[in-house]
Amino acid sequence: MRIIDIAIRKLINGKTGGAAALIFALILSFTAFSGRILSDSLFLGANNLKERLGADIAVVPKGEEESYQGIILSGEPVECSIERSLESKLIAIDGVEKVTPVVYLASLNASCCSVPIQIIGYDPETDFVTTPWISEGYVKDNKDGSLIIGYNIAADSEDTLTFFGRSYEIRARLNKTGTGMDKSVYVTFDVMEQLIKDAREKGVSFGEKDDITETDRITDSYVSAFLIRVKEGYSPDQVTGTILRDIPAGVVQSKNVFSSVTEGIGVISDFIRNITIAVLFIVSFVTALLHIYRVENRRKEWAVYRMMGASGNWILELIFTETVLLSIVGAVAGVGLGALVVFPFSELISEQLKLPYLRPDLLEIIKGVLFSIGLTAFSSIIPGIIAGEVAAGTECYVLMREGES
Amino acid sequence: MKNKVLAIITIIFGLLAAIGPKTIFPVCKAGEMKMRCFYTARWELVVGVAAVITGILLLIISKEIIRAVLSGVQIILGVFIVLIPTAIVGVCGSPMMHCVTVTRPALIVIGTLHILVSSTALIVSLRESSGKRIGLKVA
Repeated sequence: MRIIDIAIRKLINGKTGGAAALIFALILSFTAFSGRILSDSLFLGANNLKERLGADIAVVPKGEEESYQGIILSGEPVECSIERSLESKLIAIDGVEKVTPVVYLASLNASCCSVPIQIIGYDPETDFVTTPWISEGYVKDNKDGSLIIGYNIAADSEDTLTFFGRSYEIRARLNKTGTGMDKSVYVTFDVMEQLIKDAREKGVSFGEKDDITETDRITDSYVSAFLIRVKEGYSPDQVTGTILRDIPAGVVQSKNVFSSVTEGIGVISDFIRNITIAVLFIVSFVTALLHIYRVENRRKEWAVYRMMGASGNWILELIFTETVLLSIVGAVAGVGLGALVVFPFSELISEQLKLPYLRPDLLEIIKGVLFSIGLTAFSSIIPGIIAGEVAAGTECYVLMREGES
Repeated sequence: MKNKVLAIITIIFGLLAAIGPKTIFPVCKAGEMKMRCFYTARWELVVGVAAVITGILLLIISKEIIRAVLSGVQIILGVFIVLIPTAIVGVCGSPMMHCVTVTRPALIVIGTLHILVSSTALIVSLRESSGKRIGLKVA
């Protein structure tokens, strides 16, 4: 019988005395796996955000710069208004290639649950940030519908959504971004007018403008923000400076949104890495002690092997195999437990972190699994050798007669 | 001893599934209109209570074959704990709702662990009934 067979049988029958060591291996691989998936997801989300931002500069009402970041990153509803007449001034600024106005409106009620969703109005004539991201696979047959929904928005069975008591047909769905854009609904300005009117009846005002009469087209006078693309050869900083000088509004640069995100992710992933290293050292130390303890408890067993002709090396090898096997079993359980926490709770994690969060693909997940199991198995090598040496080093006679007087 | 510990763990999971959706990881607040997650919480209460009762029987009955059957029942109840919020009843449609981000994943985790523990209890009972001495360390 080979050593590995003996070790496996001992493990199945629970005769290794290594339950505690198994739990520590589980803790290590759980930490390594969930930590790795978490930081992978955050980096993926950040990369996606960079591609997805589309506009270089956003012009928002003064004081609303923070709320604009909230929309982009976590889909937090916001309401603000800025005069539409600024659009012509913006397009005239040197270095501005494209300008498109957007309108933000917070809903009270969507599909089944009353939940505040951000409704974003875009101008189809000038838009360059929303429509390029429509997922081809999701375009419905009837393209006349009026809503484009973010990836995470659930539609009812008839592909409609109800806002302020009126139901709208869904036209398309956007690709997953892992950002707040997944939790928004996009409409054209015509639909937005209807929504604003309905919203007003339900007591939701748009930007609290008193000088708008019922018949006015609100979006002709006021919008929530302007998104700007800078001409090639001009730097966003340069254009931002001109806008701040000429136009009474706040400015958010996309690169600032992005750098604030990567900063946050950097802190988190450093923290995850440090925790994993700390756990690795603690677990290696504790499991070394636990393995010595379990080997000490089986001294009579080693004596029997020695009497049957087993060499010290053979015993060392058996203990080493047992130790590594125990840690691999613990590691597999830890990865399972990690998957059970990280994947179902991904929505909650992304909501709590308020950072873009995109689950890695299968290949990355498999890499994570192998990494965690490998790391845990690695952590058991030195404890295994130490425990093996302890058992193999003692003389047979001493082992057998121990405890007798 | 091993059986008693496993039975107590299934009772704890049953309790969590029964009262968790109303207390620890609550579903969305029901207004005038009852939402889907409200019914999920109600069904989990039924399944959870059933799991608790089965767990108590597992604790007090010592005949292995009956314990094996009860463990089988626990496995099925665990499957229901997972399926109610995911397939049978479901939760609210919007991804930002509390029942989607917290209640559903919590029930998936509890249900999966319940299935694993009940499966271990089943193996332990079957092995004991066939007269073998075993001792599984891994759940």
